[in-house]
Amino acid sequence: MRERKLFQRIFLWFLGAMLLMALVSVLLTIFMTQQGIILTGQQEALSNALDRNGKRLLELVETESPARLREEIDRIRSETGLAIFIFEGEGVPVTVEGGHSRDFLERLGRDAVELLGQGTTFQTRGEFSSVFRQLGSPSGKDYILVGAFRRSPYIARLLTGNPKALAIHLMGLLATALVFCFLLARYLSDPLVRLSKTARSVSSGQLDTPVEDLVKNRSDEIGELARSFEAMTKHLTTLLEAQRRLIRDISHELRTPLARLGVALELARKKSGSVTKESLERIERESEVLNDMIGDLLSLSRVEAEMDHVTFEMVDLAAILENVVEDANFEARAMKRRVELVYPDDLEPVRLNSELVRRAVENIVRNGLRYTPEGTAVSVKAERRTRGGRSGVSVTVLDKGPGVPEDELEQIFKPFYRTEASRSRDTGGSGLGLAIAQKAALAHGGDINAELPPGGGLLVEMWLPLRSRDL
Amino acid sequence: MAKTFLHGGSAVERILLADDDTGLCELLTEFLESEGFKVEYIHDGRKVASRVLAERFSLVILDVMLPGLSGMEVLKEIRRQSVVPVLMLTARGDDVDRIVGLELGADDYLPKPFNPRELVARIRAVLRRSRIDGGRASQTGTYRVGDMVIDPAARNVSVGGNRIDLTTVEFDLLETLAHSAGTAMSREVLVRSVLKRSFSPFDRSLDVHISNLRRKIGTYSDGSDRIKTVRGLGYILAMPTEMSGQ
Repeated sequence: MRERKLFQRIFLWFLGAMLLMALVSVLLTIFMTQQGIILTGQQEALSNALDRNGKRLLELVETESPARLREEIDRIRSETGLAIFIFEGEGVPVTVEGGHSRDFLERLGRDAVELLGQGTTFQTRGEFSSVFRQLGSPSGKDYILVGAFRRSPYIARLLTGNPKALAIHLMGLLATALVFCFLLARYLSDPLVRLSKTARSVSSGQLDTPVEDLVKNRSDEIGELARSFEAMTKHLTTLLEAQRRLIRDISHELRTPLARLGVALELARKKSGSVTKESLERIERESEVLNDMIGDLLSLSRVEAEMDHVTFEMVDLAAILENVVEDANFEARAMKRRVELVYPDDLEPVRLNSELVRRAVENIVRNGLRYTPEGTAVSVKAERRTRGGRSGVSVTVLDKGPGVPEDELEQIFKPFYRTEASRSRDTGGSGLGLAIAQKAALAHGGDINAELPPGGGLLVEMWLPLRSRDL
Repeated sequence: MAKTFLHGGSAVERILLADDDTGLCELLTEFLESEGFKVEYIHDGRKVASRVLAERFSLVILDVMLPGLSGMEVLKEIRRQSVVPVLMLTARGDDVDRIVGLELGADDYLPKPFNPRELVARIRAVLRRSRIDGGRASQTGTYRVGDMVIDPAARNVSVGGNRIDLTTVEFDLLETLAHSAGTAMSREVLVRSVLKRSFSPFDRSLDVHISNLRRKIGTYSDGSDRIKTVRGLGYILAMPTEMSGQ
């Protein structure tokens, strides 16, 4: 489905981005920890912790037993992870137990004195960060304190440590990311899906389709787009409406002088002799063409105006066809042509507007009569035909004429479209018949198309759904 | 040639033309007078009815679009008191107008712009019809088709005892169908015998009259149409099923 694509994309991109960021963050932390880059914060924290605890420990050094001191140091270590070593001013270790060898402690004491002498108070070496401090005891004696901290940050510990904790951690992260990305993707794509649905409806001719309030009332750019879109369709509707009204008004107005012309012509014919007879007949023919054209223009604009509120009823299509064919035959006989009709006996009633369908079939048949050669017949055929899963009826009209060039098959339904051949020949007609037929078919939710059958001529097929879409 | 329009030694047929187009009225007057009619014209829709009722016209030509009062309103007003034949000039392509016009009791319609020769043919057909109607009031014998009783003498129709209001054309149409009830009549024959003019293709006035008539007389109790369409043939006034079954 097309409309889910944007949702999927936003969702996956954001989810990917979030997971990638999480991964990069973990990797960078590991890297920087290993490189000792992100320690500033830790250094301060360690110094503070050492200062805070150091004062109290020095009190204990002078007043309590070494066992009590040891106890306190172990407590601090287990609570904070900070191991504190105490030396006298010259680097002689004060605390001796705690699982460290005498050698190690003496070396550490020497290093501390040396480093403090150089002004260094912080050092990372191996997997430890160490802080050095020179503090005075309450009695005034100088001590050197070293705080050591095992450098294994939380994340690194997680990755190497407990797999269950890691799983819970990752699941939580993923779930948060999923929910967030889902909401975000929907927040962004949903209004666009709705707007595009409206746009499709508009482009299919439903110009008055409103943009949903949910989209229109958004205060962001999408809301703005929706409002512009609606303003645009309103403008389009007005323009189209104005254009239709103009055509309709012009046609109406043209009929007044045309009506006078017809009467004046008839009067002229009565008064004049046989000399002008031919010319007057020609004038009459041309004014009739003009008249037909205006009539068809009005028909077309009427069908267009009615498109949205056509009323349908169950109608015997065969009766309409019989009726049209009977009339067409009446006209055809005078032109030495025929119209034939074939339909199945059990053709069921179709939900349609008889006036529109009658007009459509009439126009297609008359168009066929115009091109079929003398002595031939235009065949009208109705049959059941399912299209795209919808059952319907197709009415085909076949003439024995020259057909039309293949690339113009779709164009012949445009108003006033004339093929090269019909332009050079005087075939009559307003050039609107097939356009009217097409509008009528569309109003029923059906369609119309033309093809060139193998046997020659032109085949126009109008398809109507058995049940028109309910409006 | 003029003899055809002079009827029983009576005066020339007087026609009232109601149209707001002065130019057209002048031209039509000249043309119709050359065809042997006497024409008067009027532009204001509000004055048409009073004029028709005050004077004796053989026929009224009424444009649907009249200033003041629309042609439909005028027709309604005329029909309240007069049966004078009315020929409506309608806007071409406006099917609604012509259907409403015929329903209100217009005798025929012609889309405008029209061929003047066609107009004359229609005028003569309508006049012929009205003359025949006037001349056969003495006819006796009623038709009974199911629960429908058609009385040509009194020119009324009742269905199940209820009187139905029909226009002149509708009554003539029903009478003609009743005359050969049970037998299909072609549209061409019906146009000739009822509308008194030649059949022209794609002219739907007969069908419009039929559909108005159908609506007025309703269906049989089993829901079937009294007037049925016979595909490819025309129309038939069907006998009720229980009768045809016997």
